[in-house]
Amino acid sequence: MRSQRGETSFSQLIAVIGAVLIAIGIAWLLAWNWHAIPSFLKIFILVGLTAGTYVGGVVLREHEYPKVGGAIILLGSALFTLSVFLIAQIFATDASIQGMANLQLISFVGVLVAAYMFASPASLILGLTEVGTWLFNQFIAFQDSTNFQFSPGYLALLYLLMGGLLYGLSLVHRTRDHAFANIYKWWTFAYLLTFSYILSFQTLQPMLWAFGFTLGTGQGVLLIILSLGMLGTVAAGVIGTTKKNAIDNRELLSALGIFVALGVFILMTALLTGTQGQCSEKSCYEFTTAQCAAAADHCTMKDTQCQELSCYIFHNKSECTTAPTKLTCTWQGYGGAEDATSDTNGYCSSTSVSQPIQRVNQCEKYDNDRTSCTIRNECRWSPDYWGGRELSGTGWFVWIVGNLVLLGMILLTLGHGTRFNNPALVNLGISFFALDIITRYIGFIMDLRGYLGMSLIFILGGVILLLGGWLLEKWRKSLLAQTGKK
Amino acid sequence: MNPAYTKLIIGLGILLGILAVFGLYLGLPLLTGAEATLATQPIDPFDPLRGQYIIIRYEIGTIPPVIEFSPPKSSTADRASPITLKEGDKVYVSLKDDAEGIARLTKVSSEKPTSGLFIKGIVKRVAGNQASIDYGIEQYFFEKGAQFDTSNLQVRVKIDSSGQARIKELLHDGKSVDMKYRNLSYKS
Repeated sequence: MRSQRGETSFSQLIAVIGAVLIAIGIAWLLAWNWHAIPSFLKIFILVGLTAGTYVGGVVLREHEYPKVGGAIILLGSALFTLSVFLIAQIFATDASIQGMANLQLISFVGVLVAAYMFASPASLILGLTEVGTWLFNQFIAFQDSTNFQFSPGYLALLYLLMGGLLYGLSLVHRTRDHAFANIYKWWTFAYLLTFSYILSFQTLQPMLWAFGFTLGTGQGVLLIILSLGMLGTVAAGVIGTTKKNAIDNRELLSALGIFVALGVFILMTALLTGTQGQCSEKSCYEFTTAQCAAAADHCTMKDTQCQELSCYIFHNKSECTTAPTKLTCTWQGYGGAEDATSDTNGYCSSTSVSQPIQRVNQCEKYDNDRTSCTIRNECRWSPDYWGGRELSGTGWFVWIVGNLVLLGMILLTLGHGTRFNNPALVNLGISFFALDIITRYIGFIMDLRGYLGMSLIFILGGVILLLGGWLLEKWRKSLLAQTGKK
Repeated sequence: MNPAYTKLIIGLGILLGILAVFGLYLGLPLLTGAEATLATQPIDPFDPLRGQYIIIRYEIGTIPPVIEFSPPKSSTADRASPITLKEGDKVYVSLKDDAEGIARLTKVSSEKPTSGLFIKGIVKRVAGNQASIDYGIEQYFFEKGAQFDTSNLQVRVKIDSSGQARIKELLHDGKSVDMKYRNLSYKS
């Protein structure tokens, strides 16, 4: 029995890999954009292929080939997505991030329709992946349209709301005993684990609220729509499952706890705003006329712009002779043409071997101190973890809380998996636990570099990983045995 | 009929409907629009799903950030007062052909003109004395590896009555661009 189940899963796996390979191959054919096929014929071929693939998949499934049939329906959904992009290519629609987000949203709607109409779990997973990437691109598109003036913390909140929406959907499907209920459940756990894992990185935490809490209109509207959708779905799911006795207080409180913990943690990272980043000197191009005059030692107004003072900004022989003496400029003709007079046949360059203008960076002393940096006209603040690895006490505190939230999410997954006899969830929880251990181990290596430290960490780490591997395997077996007993 | 097949027919109907509506929406300006030729300044990137394309910057892609205020007819607002554009604003650029047949900007307004040829755009960026406008026709996809002269390029577009534009063809010195395609091989 076990062997048969294994073989079936294997056949499903290779069929899905086959479907994915075909879809990637066709995607490359589309990207090649072969001119010899007229546009309308390309659309006809791809749309025909999409419809034919769906028909083939459903027919195969109805004729006792459910796994291969399912993989072919997945191929159909991938081809539907490609059809959207092909039509967009033919009509030369917007290639910006907003354009990409629009296409992803249209694709998602179609793939979701296919998932439900053709009862295709694989299409549902493709659709959920598409909507996840859409959310990211849509947020970046809003950022792009507002010159990146809003904090990515809002993206984290949007993803948290999407996690809530997924949980709500899993409850709604549980209420209706829908075939997708378990997929939504697994996806919700996998999604929240990935989300908590990403948030646990020190590099990311100081960046989340780098531009404060100001919110753009687009992001705000998205936040409201997703909040309402999440609240409505969760309410419907909780009411439905409670009426059906398909949920208990322990699960509800755990779910509420993890969402609140994630939300509080995201907001808590605001404590690090302005404490991690580089303070660098503005370039002359960023100065106003008055600032340019104040920085006359290395900037000058030329061609209606404030430019860095160097020989290269003088574009002909006569201009070159008017350059400040300290630059030691001289006009060089291309190919030894001494009489060259304009920048098409010569250039103005310095005869000095060393840099004529030596400047001391006045801003770097304000690294990791946004307030002191931004009050200086000549300095520019860029939120950046790598501006200095000296993490403050608050930084460590926030990082520890982030890791505790991740650990909580892992334990919740394992607890739910063992309680409801779900080996898939147990495996998922164990995988993330192992991933967390490896990631933090690499993180410590990066933080505590040095020959002796590295040597000790590697030896100690190797022993811990070997022991950990043995314990993990033992733990996993015992958890799976428990789920088997139930 | 097998319920799975009934669902298949309904599902296919919805999916093909989505693609048809999407295609029709994009194709409408090409079917019903008026023609205009625009001057350009192109560059050349790549999209992983749609392939090679050029980004086309139009002469009308940068306008002064202060434009004429065109309030709705019902409004009593002062028609003479100018407005300063900000990112995300919608603008209507009125066009008129010059002696060489290139459509040039004649007026920019915040309200849809009632007559004449005009194109709708969105303010992408405002910096200093310039506002960058996107018209949704800033890209043109072509076969991977194909080459053509991008100097003195113009774009023939079709613009529908709402101001929405689609690219019809690329022109070089007023004639259809001569694309040079690579020979087909397995390494193509």
